[in-house]
Amino acid sequence: MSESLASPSSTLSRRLSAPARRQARSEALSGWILASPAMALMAMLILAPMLAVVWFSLTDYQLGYPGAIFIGLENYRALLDDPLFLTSLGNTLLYTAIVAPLSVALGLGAALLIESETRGRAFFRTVYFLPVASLLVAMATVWQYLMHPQIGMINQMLALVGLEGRNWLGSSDTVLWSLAAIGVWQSVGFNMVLFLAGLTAIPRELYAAARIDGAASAWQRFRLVTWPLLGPTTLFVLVISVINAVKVFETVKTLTEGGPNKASEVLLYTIYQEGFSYLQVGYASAMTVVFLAILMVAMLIQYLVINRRTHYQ
Amino acid sequence: MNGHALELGGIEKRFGKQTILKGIDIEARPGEFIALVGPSGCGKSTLLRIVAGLESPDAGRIRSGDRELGELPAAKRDVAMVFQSYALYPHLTAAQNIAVPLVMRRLSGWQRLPLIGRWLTPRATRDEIHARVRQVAEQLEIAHLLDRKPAKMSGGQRQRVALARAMVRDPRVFLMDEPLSNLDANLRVHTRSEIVALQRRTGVTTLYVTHDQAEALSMADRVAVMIQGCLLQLDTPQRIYQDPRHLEVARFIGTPRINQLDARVDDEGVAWVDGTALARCAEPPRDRKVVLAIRPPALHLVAEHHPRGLTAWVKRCEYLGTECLLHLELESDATPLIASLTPELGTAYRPDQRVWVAAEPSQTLIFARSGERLTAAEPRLERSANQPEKLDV
Repeated sequence: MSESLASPSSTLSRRLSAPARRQARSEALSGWILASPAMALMAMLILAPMLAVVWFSLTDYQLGYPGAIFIGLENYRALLDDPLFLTSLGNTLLYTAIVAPLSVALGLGAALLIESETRGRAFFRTVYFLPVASLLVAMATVWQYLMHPQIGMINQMLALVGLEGRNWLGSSDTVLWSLAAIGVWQSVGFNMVLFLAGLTAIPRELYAAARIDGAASAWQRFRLVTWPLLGPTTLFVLVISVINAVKVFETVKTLTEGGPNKASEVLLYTIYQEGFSYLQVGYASAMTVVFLAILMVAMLIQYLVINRRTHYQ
Repeated sequence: MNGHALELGGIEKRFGKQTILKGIDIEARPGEFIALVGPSGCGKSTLLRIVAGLESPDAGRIRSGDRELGELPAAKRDVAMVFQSYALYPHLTAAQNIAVPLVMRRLSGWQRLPLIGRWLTPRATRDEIHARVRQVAEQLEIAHLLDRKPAKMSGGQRQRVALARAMVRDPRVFLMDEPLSNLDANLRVHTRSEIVALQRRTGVTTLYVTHDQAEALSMADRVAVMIQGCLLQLDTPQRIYQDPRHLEVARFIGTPRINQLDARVDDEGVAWVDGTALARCAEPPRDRKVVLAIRPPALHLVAEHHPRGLTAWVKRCEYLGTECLLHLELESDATPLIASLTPELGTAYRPDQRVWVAAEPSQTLIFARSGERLTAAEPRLERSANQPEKLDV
């Protein structure tokens, strides 16, 4: 009895499943077809160049010379013995260690000040954002003038209060710090905008609750509410700042060309010189891979930490 | 544990040109539960925030017992507040949320630091805070939630954590800003009685803001009705309902809404509607115009030639199980009326049926057109007339 009932239904399901399967297959196919232009572009524009760089880094390829010999990890081994690369790596890390925390802290400070200000908020926001929107290469000439040892405004103002000026961009003691100052100036506005977005997401009532719960001072409320709730934003801003700082190039190229005495030699500038001045593409590619690895590690850290912290709301 | 009296005197608040509060005076006895009720925008939440110290009033003073609160910042007022959104700290667990008022008051800035703060805090203090949090959590039956973060809790559970955070120290005043309005209907009714029980047990003077008159009437010792920035009446729930001092109070309190009839008053003080004398006021107002207000349950269906009977048409009959609302329209000027009848009585009527309605003069409230309540006089017109007959069906 039960078999006679079950058999027609199972044949029915089998009869239905064949067209259903066919439909699923055709749906998958049209999905692939629709996605293929984007995938082709992605492969061509992003993945292929990256793979090419990795491949070049394993050869002694020189631009303009025919043929390239596979030399394995020889380029990477040479990097370890290359004082210029090590200086460059060290300078980049120092530059990042100055610029990233400072631009995050100042960006947060600016955002907090603007947030608490009722009047002129749009004005301050725009002013702080201007350096982000302006061309750094063009602004670099202004900085060059400001930091000029004789006619520069910075030294003139220092002279007014009786302090001795310095050759900011021309001395190997100060050049990296001067470039870092320009880097901070450039990125504070961007970080501020990100922090402002994070601040508006904090419910006002939490501050009211904090005041009633005994957080009398603004600092106490910052610690109880703002800082923890901005956590995800801060992490994001920090990673973006690290990536941007590691990528420093324009100011070095336009203002110092790595000098004086290699004191402002940074990774991207060294890669540029190796690749485009000395045409050592293979060697430059090895540096690029190291550079990309640093960026990937930064992003991986962000991904891991954000995943570990659950979202609040 | 004794509550403190709370005294608000002449509280005024303006935002720009708009006056939000127009001189509010409220005196709460120690341990009293006062509900502030009114339509949205009447200023009740602003008043609560002023008492909390979150807004500063333009005029007026706030006293709690023998202490002036007006000049103190919110953190020093020793009040506790439950917010409509609960305002729990999303990054803290329930236990940490509840502990915040204690931690902020008892520990120094160094002791509140993560990791090393633990090491700087005397063990006794930590244990004390821990024990108090646990005790409050058990009172509110949320001890099993203490390790959870707000995102992992239901609305009702968050509401309890917010209550626990308010109760964890013994504040001078409880302030509650529509704490139940984000709960579903069943839970709301249940939590009402719980909050009242908690309030009675702790004996802390409470101001409770709500737009829900049922909450106000059922929970509070006294209800303050606020309309457009004015405190119109502060009275017990019974008197607010039965003896409203202002037409707006009568209109706001009670569902369905109170019936209103425009009436003309003659020299004797008798109020007439469509040639029928319905009530008599002791001192007729100068403009001779009054509004008569009758609660739906006080409006009875009567026989055709009743001396106070008004002719009306049945528009609709709303069956609600425990009662039946008969929607009527006055024949003379189409004034809408509602009569609340027993289900047996009400269901007998059909739309477009012609009926006669009347109310006892004692149940007919007289208001001046400005809204003030007028005193009713002994209705002389009634002497010869029969008592209203209820129509039996």
